[in-house]
Amino acid sequence: MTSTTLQKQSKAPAASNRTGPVVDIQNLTVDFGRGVHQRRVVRNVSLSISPGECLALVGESGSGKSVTARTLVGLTGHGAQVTADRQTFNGADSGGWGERQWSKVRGKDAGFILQDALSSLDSLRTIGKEVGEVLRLHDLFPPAERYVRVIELLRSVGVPDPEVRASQYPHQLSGGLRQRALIASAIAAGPGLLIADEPTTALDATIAAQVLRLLGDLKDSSTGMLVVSHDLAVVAHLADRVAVMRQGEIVEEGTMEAVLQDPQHPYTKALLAAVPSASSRGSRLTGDHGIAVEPVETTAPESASLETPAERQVLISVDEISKTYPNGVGAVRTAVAGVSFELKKGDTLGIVGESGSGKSTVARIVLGVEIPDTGATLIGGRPWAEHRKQKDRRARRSVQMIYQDPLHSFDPRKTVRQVIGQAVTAAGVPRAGRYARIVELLDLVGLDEDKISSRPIELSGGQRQRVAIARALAAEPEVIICDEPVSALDVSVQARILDLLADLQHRLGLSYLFISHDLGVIQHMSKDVLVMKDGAILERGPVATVFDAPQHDYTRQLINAIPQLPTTRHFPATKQDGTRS
Amino acid sequence: MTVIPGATTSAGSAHTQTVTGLPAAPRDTSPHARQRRRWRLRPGLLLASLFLLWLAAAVVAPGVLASADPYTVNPSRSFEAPGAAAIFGTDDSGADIYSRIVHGAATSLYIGLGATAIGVVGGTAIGLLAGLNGRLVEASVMRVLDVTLAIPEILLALVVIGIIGGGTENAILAIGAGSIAYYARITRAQTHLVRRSGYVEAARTLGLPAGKVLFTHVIPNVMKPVLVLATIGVGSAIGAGASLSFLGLGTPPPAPEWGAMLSVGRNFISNAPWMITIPAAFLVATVLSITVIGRELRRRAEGRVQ
Repeated sequence: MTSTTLQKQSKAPAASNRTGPVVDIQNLTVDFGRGVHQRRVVRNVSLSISPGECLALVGESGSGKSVTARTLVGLTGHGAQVTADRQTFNGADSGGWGERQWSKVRGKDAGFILQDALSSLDSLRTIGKEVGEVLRLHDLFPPAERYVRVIELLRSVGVPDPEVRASQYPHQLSGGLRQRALIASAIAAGPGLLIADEPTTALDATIAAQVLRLLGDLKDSSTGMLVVSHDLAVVAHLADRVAVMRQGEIVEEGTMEAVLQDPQHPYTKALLAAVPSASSRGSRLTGDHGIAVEPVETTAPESASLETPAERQVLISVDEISKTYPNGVGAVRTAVAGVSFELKKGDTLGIVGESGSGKSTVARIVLGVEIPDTGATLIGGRPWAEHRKQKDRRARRSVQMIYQDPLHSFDPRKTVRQVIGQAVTAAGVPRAGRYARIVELLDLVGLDEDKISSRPIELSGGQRQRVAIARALAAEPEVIICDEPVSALDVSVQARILDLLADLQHRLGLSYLFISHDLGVIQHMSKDVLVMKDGAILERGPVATVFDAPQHDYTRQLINAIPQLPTTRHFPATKQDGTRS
Repeated sequence: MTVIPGATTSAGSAHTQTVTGLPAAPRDTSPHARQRRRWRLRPGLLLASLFLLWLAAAVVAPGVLASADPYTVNPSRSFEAPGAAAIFGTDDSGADIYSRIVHGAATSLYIGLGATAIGVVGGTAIGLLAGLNGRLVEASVMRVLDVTLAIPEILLALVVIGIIGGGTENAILAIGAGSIAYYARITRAQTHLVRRSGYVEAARTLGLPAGKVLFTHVIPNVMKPVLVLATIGVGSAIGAGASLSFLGLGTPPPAPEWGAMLSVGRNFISNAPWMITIPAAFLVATVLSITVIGRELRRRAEGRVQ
C-alpha cells in the first residue's frame, strides 16, 4: 500500500526514536460537573497502545469509551476533571498538558477520525484544502509541494480521480468518499497514533467494509491505532487487542482472539450474543427481556406460519409501482422502478439495499403518504386511492410505520402520554378508557409507567423507539413498516428492540415490512427478502436461499460486506436456542 | 458519548449531534429531580422576573408605587437632581420623574403589547395562508411581503400615521401594521418545515383528520418560534412607540409616556441628563427583561431542561 510508505517519509524525527508505547495511561478517571451534579464517566481505566498495534475499545453509548479515546489526545472537553496515575504520549508525560501543547501534537502525532464525516468536514472548504490544512498548520511541507502531497494522500486512501475530488466540497461527495477524505486528513502528517471513533457506523455495509479494509491497510509497524465501536463484529478483524467498557470501566481486556473465543465477563458474552445474524434467527438476542409479561415460546417467527401459506390472507399487494422525482435540472431521477411484492399475515418481509436504492420510497408508497406514478398498492385487496377517497380510517390505521429516528416523528411539545394518547384517541378508544390503554401499550413495549409524563427528548434512543412502537400499536395495525428501526442504536439496545419486535409479532400476529441496510438484522428478522438496487428488485426469495446461494453479484458483494465475528459460533443468550446453534 | 455538559470542543459538538439517545450513564431522571432542575433560577432570570413584576404593579396600581401626581407642575422645583426629595429628580416643569415613569409604564406596555398583537395575528394569518396554499397564492403573497419588507418598519409606521393621524391608538396600529410582513415571513417558512415533519406524517398515518392535524400539530408548532420572536418584538415595538412619541407623533405630552419623556429630555441633555437617562434605562430594562423571560419560556416549551 502506498500509504504506508508515504507515512514513513513524513514521520517527524521526534517520533522515530520512540520505542515504548505511543500512549500509556494508568488509572484514568474522568468526572463531569461539580458538586451534586458530578458524574463519573470513566473510572480507573488503564490502557496502552504500542506502535504497530491496534486496540479496539468496545461498549455501548454512555460506557465512556469515546471520552477515554478523546482524553488520550487532550479533547476531554470543558468542565471535565481528569486524573490519572500516569499519562504519557510518545514517552513524554502528558498529564499536565494544556491546550497549547496538545494542539502541537494533534494532527501531527495523533490523527482523529470521527463518525460523521459530513459534520466533521467544513462545508465551506474543498476536500483538498481540508486535507492540506494539517500540513499547513504543522508546517510539514513547503507550500508548493502541499498540493501534490494532498493528491497523493487522497489516492492512497482510495479516492478515485483525486485531482477532481480535491476541488470539490463535502456535500458533493458520497458518505464513503467523505469518510476516506477524513481519513486522509487524519493520516496526512503520518501520526504515530490514529484514533477512529465509530468510523463506519454511519455508512452502508459495503462502504463500511471498504473503510475497514482501508484502516487495516493503514496499520504498520510505527503506528498505534485505537478503534472505538459499539459493535464487536466491526472491529473483530481489524484490532489485535480489545478492551470492553461498561459504565466507565474496562470489564474485560485481552487479545481479540481470546475475547471472542472465550469471553469471561457476562457483559462481553451478552455483547457477542446481541449481534443478529443468520444463526441467531428464531432465538432471543438478549438474556433479559425488557418485557413485563413472560413471552410466549419463541421458537421462531415460522411458528406463526404453521398453516399452509395459501390459507393466509394477503394484507398488502404491491403491483409494479414506479416513482420518479424531478432532479432539479430538468431531468428525472428514478427512485422506484417496477417493484411488485406481497406481504401475508404474520410474515416478515425484509428489504435490503444501500442508501439511494429506493427502499424508503417503497416504504412511503406502501404507507400511503407517497403516491406512485404508475402501479398500485392494494391494502386488504383495495387500492390506496380508493381508501383515500372514502376516507376509510380503519384502512388508514391498518398500516403503520416506525422510523430510524423516532425523535423526529414526535411533536416536540408533547409528552409520551400525549403522543400515544393521540393515537389511542384516533383509534376510537372512548375517553374513559384512554389512560388505561396508554399504560397497557407502554407495558406491552416494556416501558415503565413513570415515563408517561416525560418528553421523548428526555428518553434514550431505545426508549424513544419503544414509544414509537407503542404509538404504532395504538392504531391496532395489521402491518408495521420498520424503516431502519435499529440502525441508529447500539448493538445491545438494538438486540432488545429486535427481541421486542419479534415478541410483539407472536403475541399480536403482526406483519412486518422490514427495511434495513444491515443484512444481519434482515437475516435475523425476516422470512423472505427482497434485494433492491437502483429502484428495482434484483433478487428475491426466502432468506436462507438468497443468502446461502445468491444469484446476483451485487447480493454476493452485500453478503461479503457483513462484518462477521471470526467464529461462526453463536453465543447462546437463552437456553431455548441451544438446540439450534 | 452523548450530552456531556461543557464538552463543546468543535469536534465534540460534531460528535454529539450524530449519536442518538441520552446517556445510559447514571442521571437522576426522577420526576423530583427534574422539578428541581426546572426551578433552579438563574440570577438574570430572577432579576428579569422581579422587574416585570414591578412593571405589572406599575400598570395595575401606579398610585400605590408613586404617590406624587405625575401631572403636577411646580416651577419652583424644576430640574431637581435625583436625591432624597425626588429619587429620580424632577423635569423641566417640576414633575416627579419617578412618578411619571411609574404612571407611564401602562402606556408604554400598551403600545408594545398592542402593536405586537396586531403584527403577530396579522402576520401568522397571512403566513399560514401562504404556507398552506398552492404555489400561486404563495408566490403572490410573498412578493407583496417582500416589497413591504424593503421599506423600514418605522418609515412604514410614519406613512400610516401620515394617513390616519397621530395619537396612542394610531401609533399602535401603525407599528403593528409595519411588523406584519416580518411575522408573516417567519410563519410561512415555519409552516413549510412543520408540514413536512415526521410528526405531521405520523399523525396523518394514524388517521387524524386534516383539520385536527392543522390545529393540534401545525399551528402550535408554527407559533412556537413566532411567539418567541414576538417577545423580542414587544421590546422593539415599545422602542418604536417611543420613537414616534419622540417625534411628537405618538402619545402627546404632557401624558407620562417614556418615549415622550425622552423627547422632552433631549432639550435639557446637558443640564439635566437624568431626564433622558432614567426613561432610557427603564426602556432598556423592559426590553431586556421581556427578552430574557421569552427565551426561558421557549426553553421550557421545548422541554430542554437540563
